Amino acid sequence: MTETHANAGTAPAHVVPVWEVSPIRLWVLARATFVQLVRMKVFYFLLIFVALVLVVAAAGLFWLPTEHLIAIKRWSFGAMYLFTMVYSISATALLLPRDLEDRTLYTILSKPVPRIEYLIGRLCGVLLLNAVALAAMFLAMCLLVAWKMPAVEQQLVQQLLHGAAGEAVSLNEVNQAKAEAARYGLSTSLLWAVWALYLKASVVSAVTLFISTIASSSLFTIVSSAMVVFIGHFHQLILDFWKVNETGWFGGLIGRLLVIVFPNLSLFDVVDEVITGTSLSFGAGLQLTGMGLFYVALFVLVAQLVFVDKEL
Amino acid sequence: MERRKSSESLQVPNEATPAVLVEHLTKVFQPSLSRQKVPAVVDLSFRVGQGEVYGLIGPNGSGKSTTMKVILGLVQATSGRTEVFGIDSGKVGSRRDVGFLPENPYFYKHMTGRETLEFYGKLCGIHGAQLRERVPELLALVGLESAAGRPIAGYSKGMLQRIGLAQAIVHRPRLVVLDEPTAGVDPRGSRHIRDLILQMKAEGTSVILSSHLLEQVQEVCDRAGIIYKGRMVLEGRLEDLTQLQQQMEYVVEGGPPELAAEIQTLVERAGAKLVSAGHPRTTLEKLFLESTEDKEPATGGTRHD
Repeated sequence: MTETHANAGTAPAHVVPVWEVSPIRLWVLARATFVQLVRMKVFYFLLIFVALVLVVAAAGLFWLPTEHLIAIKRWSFGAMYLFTMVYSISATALLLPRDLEDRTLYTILSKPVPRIEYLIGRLCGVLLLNAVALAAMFLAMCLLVAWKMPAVEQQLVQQLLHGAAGEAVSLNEVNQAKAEAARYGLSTSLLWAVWALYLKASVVSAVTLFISTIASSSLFTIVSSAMVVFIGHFHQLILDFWKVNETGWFGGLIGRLLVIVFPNLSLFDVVDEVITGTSLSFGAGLQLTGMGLFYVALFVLVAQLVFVDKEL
Repeated sequence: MERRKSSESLQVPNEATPAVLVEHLTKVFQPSLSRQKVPAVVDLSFRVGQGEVYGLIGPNGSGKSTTMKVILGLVQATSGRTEVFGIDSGKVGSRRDVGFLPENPYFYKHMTGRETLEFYGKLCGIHGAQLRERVPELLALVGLESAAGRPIAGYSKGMLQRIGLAQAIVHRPRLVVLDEPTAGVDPRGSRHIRDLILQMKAEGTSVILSSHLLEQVQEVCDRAGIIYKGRMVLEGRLEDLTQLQQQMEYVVEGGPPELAAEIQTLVERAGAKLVSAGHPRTTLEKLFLESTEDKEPATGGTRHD
């Protein structure tokens, strides 16, 4: 019997260089994933979103004018966050285990499709879904804010006149009131905020994809991914706790491991600052993009390392 | 990586290059959390020539599916060598000319039959007019034109097998690997699939067929190998394997009853033994197909044959 391994002394046979990855096949896989998820009627949640923001918009009486704009944005972003996280985890967790269980994976990988293409293609499908869903929700929010804006401006001017108690109000003061309203309205920083949310969802999808390559069931993948998301939001807290409390070598080791293994998702939490009127610089936005891409690439790479030699 | 790619391109298959070459293949599985190793295939060797139909038969768990998975690069060999048209079967390039129909295939339920073929066609690099032409051709070939626009979720088992076969040959591969292609299919569907295999054979496509329906294997295969407990126990040309060297068979038509008595006397006189004599039998499959065949409305009476 020949004792040499079939691939002894060479790189794993399934590994293909990045430049051999076919963009057309990636698109075919991504599109199929997107259509699969859309036909699972995932976009029904958009109706829930619209209903939610309309309720918040209608409840304007309970807030001050600028607070009303903040509330619309806060609730909208809250809903966007919830939906993108739920779909990033649950949609990605379904893909690989189901393909394996249904043997669809056999028919796909028995074609000239490298495993890395399969992984990236499926992930791109989920990212496409997130992009479309977030764009739709963001657009709905912007329309609502733009619709409410004149009323808020008018309320601020009226407050100004009321405060002046019959005295003349200069045009400059009126413009200042309008500028104050505009600060809480639509801004380019909102785009950065929604982009940061998208990056965070992409990182969570990549993490979920990686977990699904080692997990044996969708349930395990979903639970593990949710845990990673939870821990990922407390990165800074773990670091601070570890620094402030001398936890000993064991505690320090655990802290370091947590910080290294789990992605720092709190990096992408810029929504609160942006919706209260703080603008985000272009440099900070680029930095966020870099971090997001780094995490996505890292987890796809690790997923590929596990998946490339997985026995199907 | 570049080195491997160039070595792939150097291996230009010719007539002498077998479609599949399996040499001393051994695959041992080690279940997680267990120290015990499970050998699925042990020192298995065989080759499938270009244009040949090869039957791989054996009881459940004998290693047939594992062997097919190694050939398709879905599982890595523990030791030994497997090649497809001269290319290491672990390499993605070896699958350019291969079509595979797994046992009990499932496809994306949200897709229609047509979308499924388009999806697999695109994965194989077929696009545009070529794909638009190929898909209806395949749907007609497997008899699913009327169901082409229906979601796969509503397909019967037989329809799934047929759409599975269509996706396996969407890119006109030179080798088709079929794992239990007729499992759960009624005799008519089974016959249809058998005819498709014969058509592929006529077109010069190499086929590896794994089936429990031995009669079907016997009908379509040029050669067959019997695997038992991961080892090849018997292999050869079908006509050689099924021939009973010690016995002869004569089928006589229109002879009088006295002829049978004379033959028996001759046999006894020669010191031989008459093992059996009687009317030849048809097969149950033939009877079923003849009985369930759609007949044109009879104009001159009823046929009972």
